[in-house]
Amino acid sequence: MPGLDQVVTVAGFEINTMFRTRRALAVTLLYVLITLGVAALLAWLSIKIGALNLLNSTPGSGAKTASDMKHLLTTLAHGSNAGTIRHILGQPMVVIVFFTFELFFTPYLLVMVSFDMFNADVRSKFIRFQLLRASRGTMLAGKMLAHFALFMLVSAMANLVLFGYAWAKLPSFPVLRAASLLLGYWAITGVEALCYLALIALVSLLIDQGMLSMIVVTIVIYVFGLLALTSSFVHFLTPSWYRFGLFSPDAMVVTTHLLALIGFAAVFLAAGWWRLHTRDL
Amino acid sequence: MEFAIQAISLTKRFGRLKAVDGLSFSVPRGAIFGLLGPNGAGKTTTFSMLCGFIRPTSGDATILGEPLKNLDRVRTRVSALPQDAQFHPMRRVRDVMLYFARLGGMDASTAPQEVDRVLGAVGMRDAASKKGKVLSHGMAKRLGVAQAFLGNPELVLLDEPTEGLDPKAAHTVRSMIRTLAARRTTVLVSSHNLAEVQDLCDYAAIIDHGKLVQTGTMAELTQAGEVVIIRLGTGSPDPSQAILALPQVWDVQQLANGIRIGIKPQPGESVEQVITAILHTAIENKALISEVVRGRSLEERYLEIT
Repeated sequence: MPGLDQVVTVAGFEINTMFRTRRALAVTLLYVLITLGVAALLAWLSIKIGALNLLNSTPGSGAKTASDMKHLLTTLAHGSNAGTIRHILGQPMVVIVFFTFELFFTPYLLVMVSFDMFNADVRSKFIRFQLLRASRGTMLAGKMLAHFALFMLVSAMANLVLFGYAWAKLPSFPVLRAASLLLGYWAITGVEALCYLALIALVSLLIDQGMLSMIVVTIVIYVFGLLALTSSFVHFLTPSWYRFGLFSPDAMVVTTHLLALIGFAAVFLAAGWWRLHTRDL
Repeated sequence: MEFAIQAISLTKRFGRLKAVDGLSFSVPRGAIFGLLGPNGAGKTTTFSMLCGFIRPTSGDATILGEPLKNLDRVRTRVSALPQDAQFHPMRRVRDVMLYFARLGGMDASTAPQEVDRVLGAVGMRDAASKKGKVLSHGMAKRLGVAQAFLGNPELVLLDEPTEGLDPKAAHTVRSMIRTLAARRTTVLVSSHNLAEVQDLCDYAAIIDHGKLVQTGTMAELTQAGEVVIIRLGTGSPDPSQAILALPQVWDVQQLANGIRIGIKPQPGESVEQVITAILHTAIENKALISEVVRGRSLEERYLEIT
């Protein structure tokens, strides 16, 4: 069987396992809950500041308090670049807040789903049955494909839930514009997910104890997040920093930051591949 | 002679421990080859290196003509029963077996039939809907054997295939191994069960402390062409002196219930002719013969050299 077919077979078994073990259901519920939580938070903020147009798509048309609140939230989440802030404030708030939450929560969500991507099979030596039939590279590619596909599916569902909620609740919700924005942000989130999945796969290959690998990778992601907030050059060395540029109005900046995330994914994957090829299983 | 496996100075260290130390042996194509040794001798480590689970510290091996680094090229032609691998705890047996079949290159139409065939062969068709976490040790072992028999591999490596099985299941597994051998499939069996190895295998290697102690055909190992053992009934006269006078006999030793005879056939004479001459002499001397064994038992040989 050619390699690609084997990759798909491994991915199919992995996805099936995630559904059968209800892990996929759990992560879907969690993601949808986060989505609804974001929507509820926006609604609560709207009521609190008495500016219902916070949820609306027309920037600058509401009360000054609402505008200030939007500006404050945007600055907190995306830094102080004036161009970026203006660009973000010009988009439907419900979309931008959701995307912000998605970018921040995605790595941790992925950890919860995929922390034992390899070490569960290594501990039980189930991987030996698979290695009799498929190469180590095939196993890595198949598992990555499975976890990535599941995330993209769950993420798409969450986007649809949010889209449906906003459409139902907001009379002036810009359906077409929000749809195209969500689609674009969904793809961008996918790139971020790929990067962190590669990191999780690497840690799962380095540490055989499932819970320990979950704790370690969570700490690593948290530290990446902290370093990204520093002003030193170190922030260039963390994938977390590159998500700030994903909201830029400049397509070149967005592309550069996406390429950086893909670069990190490639480095993590290469390290994982090296570890997988050199270690005993 | 063409070899399915050639181990060349295989060595594996775990920290300071040298689990396998410069091991070299060859497994002829189409043979059933036994890998023997006491606990901790390095059998499973050798096995794991040959399957590509663990990397040798030094040395190499060829599997169906390919070095270990190119094992991927022959992967679908090789099958194995790893000793301590577990089935997926949360997936049903049949689903896992189908996955293995598909991963091994079978198409979607033939895989279910093949899975049913091997599950039936090990008497596990009823367990197809069970999840891995509820399997007993014996069931898991039989499923391990079943997955090793999927498809038509050219080389099958079985690490302790009958360990923990009831006699009937063990007999089934041995029959399956013989069926494979009849199809010219090469089988490498690692086992503690010396009688089983002696019964099944054409060749064997005995290892101890990670080193090769002896390798050869089963006849060579058991000295089948050099030794004849005659068990005598209670009250039988001792035919030793008369047998020792035969020109083909160079040694006779007394055993608790018989005699061990060292033989050396004359040029152009077969071992069978020598045994016939010995039996004639024993019968002429009124010996009451209860059993004649050609060669020593593998167990006796094994205990002597390990």
